[in-house]
Amino acid sequence: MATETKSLYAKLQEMDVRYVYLLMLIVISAPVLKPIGLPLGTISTETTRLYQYINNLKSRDIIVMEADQSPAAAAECQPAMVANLYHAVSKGLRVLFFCPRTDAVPFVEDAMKLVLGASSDHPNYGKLYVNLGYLPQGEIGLAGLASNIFFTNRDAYGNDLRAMEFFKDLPNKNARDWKLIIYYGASEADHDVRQVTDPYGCPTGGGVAAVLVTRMYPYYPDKIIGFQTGLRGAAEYELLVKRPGEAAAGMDAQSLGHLAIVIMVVIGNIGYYASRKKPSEGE
Amino acid sequence: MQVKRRVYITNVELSVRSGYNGSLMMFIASLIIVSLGIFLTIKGVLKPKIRRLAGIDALDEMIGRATELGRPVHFTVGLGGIGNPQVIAGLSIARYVARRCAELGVRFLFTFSVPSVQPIATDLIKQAYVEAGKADAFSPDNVIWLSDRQFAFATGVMGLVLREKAAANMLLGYFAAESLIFAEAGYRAGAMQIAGTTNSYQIPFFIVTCDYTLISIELIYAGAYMSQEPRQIGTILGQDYLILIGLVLMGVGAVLYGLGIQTLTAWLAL
Amino acid sequence: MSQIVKRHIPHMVLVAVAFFMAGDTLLLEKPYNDLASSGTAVVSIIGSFAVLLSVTMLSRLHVRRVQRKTKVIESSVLLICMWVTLIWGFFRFAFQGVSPTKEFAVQQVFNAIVSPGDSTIYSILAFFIAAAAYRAFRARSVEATLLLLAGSIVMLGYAPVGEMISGYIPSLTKWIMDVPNTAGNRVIILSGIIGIVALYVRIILGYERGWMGRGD
Repeated sequence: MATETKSLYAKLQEMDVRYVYLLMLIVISAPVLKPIGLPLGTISTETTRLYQYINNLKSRDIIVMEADQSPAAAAECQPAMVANLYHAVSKGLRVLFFCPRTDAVPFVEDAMKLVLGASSDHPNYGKLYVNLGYLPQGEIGLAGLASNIFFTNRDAYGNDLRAMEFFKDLPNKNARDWKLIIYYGASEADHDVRQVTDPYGCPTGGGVAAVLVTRMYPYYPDKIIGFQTGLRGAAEYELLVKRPGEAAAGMDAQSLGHLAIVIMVVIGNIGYYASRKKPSEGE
Repeated sequence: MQVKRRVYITNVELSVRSGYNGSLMMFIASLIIVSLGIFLTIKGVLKPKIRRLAGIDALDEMIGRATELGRPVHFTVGLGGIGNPQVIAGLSIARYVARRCAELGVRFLFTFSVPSVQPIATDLIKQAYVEAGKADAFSPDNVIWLSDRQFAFATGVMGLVLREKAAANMLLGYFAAESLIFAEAGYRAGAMQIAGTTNSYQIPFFIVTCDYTLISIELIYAGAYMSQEPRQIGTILGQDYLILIGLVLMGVGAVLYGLGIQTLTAWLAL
Repeated sequence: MSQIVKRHIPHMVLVAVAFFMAGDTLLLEKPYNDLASSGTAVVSIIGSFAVLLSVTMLSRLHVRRVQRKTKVIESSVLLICMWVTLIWGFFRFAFQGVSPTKEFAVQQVFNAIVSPGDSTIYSILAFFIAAAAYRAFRARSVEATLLLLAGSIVMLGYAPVGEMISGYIPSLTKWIMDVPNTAGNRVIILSGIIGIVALYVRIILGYERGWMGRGD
């Protein structure tokens, strides 16, 4: 009985998906173990605009950091938050943190400890930095905070907000006093535009997971003045503030991973077209 | 600026916000326009033709395939709670699917992430079984709450779909990053898949991995589309009128803005 | 009577609250506005009770599983142990003033179990995306070819290696994201929002009753 041998192209079409997983595992983990040091290239306009906006702020201007990153999205968003915080600290800006989700609270603490060396026990806590902690009910909570900066009454550590120097000289006591709100996460930044930018005129920025980037462009550049696109955007910002960190270290893996996917897609298409032509031969 | 107005009916003086109130105008306009659409359709003045939604039309095919294979149908509304419009839209489709599964004797598995959906979903699906005349076949164990943590829920659904070897995988609701995990699990189980969400950044994942996709507004009006009742079709008509008005305003606004006239833009600013 | 309680009363409450909140955008009477803004606090409180509901459902499910000694109970036992840890953390906070974010045991559960678990499942997406792209990105039609080309260009554009391959890739990526992507996303977002508005109007008018748990 003649056995039908499959062509290489047909085999490529039906390849066990575990080989794809194995290839991805190799190309992503190899540069982590042995860095290649690929250059980052041109810094994107979106990241540059955010950097320039923050750079042009005056000392003691208020920026708000909305930490919405889950542990999953933290790999992309946390380096962006750290880099932005470095920049804000170097400019002497006032930074207000809050978290729409409970599992982002430790990331704010981590960022403050990494950049400032301490969180609630920092000498400038309450003067330049305030952490409101978890703000429940997502967009509704944000709307409340934007309309009244004392919405939570207390910060994450139980301190009375009205007693803090941070809030002493605010003319409006709402989002009109803010110069920028930066969203970090993988959910959506639309609620910042709806509740803060449109009613109060405070622009939105972003340090978002790459998957969310397509959703940012409809509001860019008028309402979302700039954003960092996933790990690449965070790496760009790290280079702009001259503090390369986790994001810059992950660029090699991202490069090889994306390249591997594109090469696999090309091979798959070659196999598809070659196996489509094959049945016509010999008929 | 406060403006005092006299409310004549009760003879009470009330302060009202002055100037253009965009949110109130939107609320009133949408009520009027959608009601107009319903009224015109019920009265037979207009008989709108709704374009076919391939995914919704394929629901029966998917359930039939599950019947032939003797494997269950899996339905999930994703991460949202009962206040999420995508979940409400998903539940209206789930009711139809549950009734068809009950009629054909196919096991219907419903999963969700936020606990507030549980009593609503249980009641809805039980009612569907009663309408199909198979009240005894309903089991609350098939309305499964897995976790309210995003990826714990994703892992639970992935395991459930693969273990039960679902023949149809219906992902209609609110999904975030875990959407591809659900879709890949369904593919690995050999399920026919339909997905729908209004999250624009998850739609590409569904388009690539699922057999049918409902994009954004299609999910919202799928429930009305399936019922084919005039008043429901009328709401789709009203919705389309809203879109039409929006398009006209956008076009006119863009032209005027290009000419340097910002009156319309300022007037519409909320 | 049961129809009135199950169907009409929830609907009337919904309509009343909807018009009450709409009235808040019109009226400038302080008591009215204060009551409307307290609605956000009410939503938060109801949301907190939903957390209580999830705790009850989860513990009931897993305790029952352990009692019945079903095949796999290790995960249920582990979960119950984590519940005990969390209850200990709340006890310390309530009676000894130690914040949960500073409570060692609670932090260990989050840092050692929850956080790596979430990250691991999220990282599976990298493999799934590769598998889905390999399987689905076929140039079968004009639309599929455009999808394939756009996807490949954007993937390379967002990696440093793209600029090394060709200097055109970053500018093509930017054009794809600025023009077709923005246009498409605007359509989807706008249509979704209008659809949601229409859905809520349907709910207010009583044509959509799925939220009550009963169909038509």
